[in-house]
Amino acid sequence: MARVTYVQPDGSARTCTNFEGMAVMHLAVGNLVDGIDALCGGVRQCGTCHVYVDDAWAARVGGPGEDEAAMLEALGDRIEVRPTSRLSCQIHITEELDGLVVHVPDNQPGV
Amino acid sequence: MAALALEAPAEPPTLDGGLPLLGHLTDFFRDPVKLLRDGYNKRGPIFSFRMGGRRMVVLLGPDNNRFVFQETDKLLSIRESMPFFHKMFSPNFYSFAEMEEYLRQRAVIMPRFKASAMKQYVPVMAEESMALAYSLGDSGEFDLVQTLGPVVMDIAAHSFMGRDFKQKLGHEFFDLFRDFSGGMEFVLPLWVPTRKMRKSQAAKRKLHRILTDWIAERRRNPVEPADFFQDIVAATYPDGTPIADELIIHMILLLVWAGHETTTGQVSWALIDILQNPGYRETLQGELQQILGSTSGADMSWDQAIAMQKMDLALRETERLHPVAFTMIRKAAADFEREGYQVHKGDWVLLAPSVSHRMSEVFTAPDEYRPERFDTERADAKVESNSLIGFGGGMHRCAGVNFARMEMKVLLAVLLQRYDMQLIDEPRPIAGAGTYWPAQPCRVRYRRRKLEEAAPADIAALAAAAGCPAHAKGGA
Repeated sequence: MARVTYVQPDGSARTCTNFEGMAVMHLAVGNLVDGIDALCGGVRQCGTCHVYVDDAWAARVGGPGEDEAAMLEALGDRIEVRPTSRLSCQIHITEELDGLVVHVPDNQPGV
Repeated sequence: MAALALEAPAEPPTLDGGLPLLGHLTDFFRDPVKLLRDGYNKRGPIFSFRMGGRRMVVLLGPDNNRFVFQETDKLLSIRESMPFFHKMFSPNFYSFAEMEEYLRQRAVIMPRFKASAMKQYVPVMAEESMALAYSLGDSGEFDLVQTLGPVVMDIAAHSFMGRDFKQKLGHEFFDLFRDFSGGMEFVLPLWVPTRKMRKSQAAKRKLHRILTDWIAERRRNPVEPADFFQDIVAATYPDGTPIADELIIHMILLLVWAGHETTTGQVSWALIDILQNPGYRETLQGELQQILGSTSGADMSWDQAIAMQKMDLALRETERLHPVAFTMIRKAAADFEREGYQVHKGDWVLLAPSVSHRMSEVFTAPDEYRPERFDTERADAKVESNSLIGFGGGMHRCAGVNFARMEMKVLLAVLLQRYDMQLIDEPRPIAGAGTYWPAQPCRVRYRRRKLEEAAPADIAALAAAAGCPAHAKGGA
């Protein structure tokens, strides 16, 4: 199992457990975590599942792929993009990510 | 030798036997799960076999599952893997369209399937489940697939096309739809005019006519408040372009097809598993008593459905033991190496939930029904990521997963709350390579339960008091 903790802007946190073939986005949506909207359903087309990966995990999770980076860049003037920004639909959960912490941003583009 | 192996990865081990030219084609279509399980027992988690001119490479276990999910649309293609789909829908539709078009279409469908969007569907699911209960009366017998199939279809038709549609055209639609589903064909080339295929194409034409009229009707007279169909008819792409009627029709047919074909089988297996395991059935009926009291479930709320966590575990366990989508197919878009084995461009790559879900390296006592293995609150729970894959994974994970799980939950809750049930026939899977339904007959004998008068729990208040964030904002 791999546990992922979602930290809200107000500091409250929820931890959810994955054993399916899910991305960080799927796990949040399936558990009704606030602030991860995923309007496109997980195909890096809407940016509404944007999260900041916790600094302690950023290296292990790695940076965005080419298409994802292009999407984040395009959203740059609507949301605050940081070096740890990722689209959570593109972070596939594996056992190596057990304990992962991500921060949910204040708002998602267009939501 | 080691150096040599590094230079040229080995071909995956192959299955013994098989006919000249046909390979294991006939074995596969007679009993695909047996073929795949034997392959795993004899050759391990990666092996290959031939079907006619095609080479199939089977990849098993959580890490191979992860690999396939992550590489779909990269090293692996989903577009070419289901030729029957082109004929049933259109070559430019959904997963099988070019990427850009797929993404546009997905953005229209997905917001309506979010877990929180299920709130609006729970009353429809409860209403249709109760309609079954009323028609069953107090005691008797029913056949699982024949009885639950139409309810699943009613829920889909009511949810996706509106109450008025279901009332007006429900049965005609259901019959046409059955013929249409018959077009799911894995083996024969699609130009062979089999009876099944001709019927499917004729049904498709009629369904298109019905839905074209229905779209026109809804454009003329929109319903308020808007239901799913009204939303789709009014929907535009993110850039504001309206959606063509043709595409709306494909979307609706896809949703109903995907939802009906799989959910009918899965919910039937779920009830079979519960009835074969009386200990857990009692656990579930206890949970229902707590949540629904002595009420029938006709007024079931979303909060109550969410609170049925033991039922969630039962559904996960049935998904593991009887995954109706027993294989998932991709086509290799390039040469690549996997765990020291060479996969060639053009090979078909198979995931097999039916085998991976029963690997003893992954699950303790894999053939036993133990729903609590998925209770992640338990200290001894240890289910690996990517080990439960009945709904697929990655970018192409089933878009309807939240809908499917919710409707199975509501239907099972209504039946278990109302009846004591017993299986009459010994359940077994259907023969052949279709969706993995229980074979007919698989009948259930039922008798109305006497429930002690009790009030349902106020779930929203309980959950908010327990600090559930989903309830923190006045019942989000």
